[in-house]
Amino acid sequence: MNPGRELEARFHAWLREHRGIFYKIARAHASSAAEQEELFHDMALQLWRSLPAFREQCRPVTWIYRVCLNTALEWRRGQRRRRLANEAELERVEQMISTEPRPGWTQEESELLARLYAAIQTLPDGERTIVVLSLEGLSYREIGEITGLTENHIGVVLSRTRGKLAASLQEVRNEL
Amino acid sequence: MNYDMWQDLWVRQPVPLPPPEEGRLLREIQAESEKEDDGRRQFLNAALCSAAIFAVLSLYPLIRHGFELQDWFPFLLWGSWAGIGLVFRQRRRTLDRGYGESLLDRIDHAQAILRESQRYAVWNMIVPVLVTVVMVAHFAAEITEGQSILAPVLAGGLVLLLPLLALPWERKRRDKLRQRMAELQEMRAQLSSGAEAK
Repeated sequence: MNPGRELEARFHAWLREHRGIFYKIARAHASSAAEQEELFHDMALQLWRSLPAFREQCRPVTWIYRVCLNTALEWRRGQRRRRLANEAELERVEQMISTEPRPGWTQEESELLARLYAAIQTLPDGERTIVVLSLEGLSYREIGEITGLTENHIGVVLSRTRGKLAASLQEVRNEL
Repeated sequence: MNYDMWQDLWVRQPVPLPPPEEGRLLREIQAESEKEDDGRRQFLNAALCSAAIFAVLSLYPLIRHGFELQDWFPFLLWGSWAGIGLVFRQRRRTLDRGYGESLLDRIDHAQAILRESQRYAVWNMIVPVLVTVVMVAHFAAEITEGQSILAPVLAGGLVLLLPLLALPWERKRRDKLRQRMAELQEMRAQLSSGAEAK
């Protein structure tokens, strides 16, 4: 197989296998569906561009997390420059209201998940990055590999962030 | 509802994106890459054309009336620029090898590249000034009584005109660099929250 075809095949396989990562990171960083699609596209583009640089020094999934998170952080900078703050707030509210049940899920579960995403979106970038990786079930060591932070620091941030999330989600539980 | 339950909800969530239309996505991605390649190719063509024009302009006096010391000044100028370009290219390669792949490493790497590009811009401005000083000094030493100093001053002014013309563009570029540096700094601060990286 020629190198171009090989890259293409790897890209297809990664995208198919790990689209959940793309989706969750896009939803954690972008409010509206259109923005999520745009960010998904940007992450896929970056993954394609970065494929030749992948030297198999880490697991593909670690590489994908790095590329996606880096793209999402950059994308948010760009968004902040492009959009007015009140527009972003408006879309966030719209997104919070839009809690259509997903197939196989109860209305309550869909609503809880939407609230979880909304709570995550209120976190600063650093905390958001770490909490998304933690929710994905990654260990401190794996989060450290992706972000470059020490395990000790990750533990401190995560404990603080869990507290914040618990507080904001407790209100949600009371509301429901 | 504790954190583990939220995590369970997170892990179980359906991924509503339809199986990505990979063919379409890849075509779009490739089209964007090709557009970038086209831009790069156009820039390279423009750079090659200008280099060819400057080479012809520099060679013309040599061909017309044979070797004279002042004919070599343009070569000194272009040669110095090329030399600086090569040195910085090498430095950039060393720089690229010096960083890891984590998010913090990438931010640090991007900051280092920006700092390097600022240095490169400064050296690109210094070169014509140095060449002009050498050229004016050379002409001034050749001037005998009764000859006008106007010619060397004009020639020096012409060489200096190049960086002066580039000044507004350079200022814009530097503003962008500063803004980007500040953004990266903020990103780093947000990500690490003052913690020591690995």
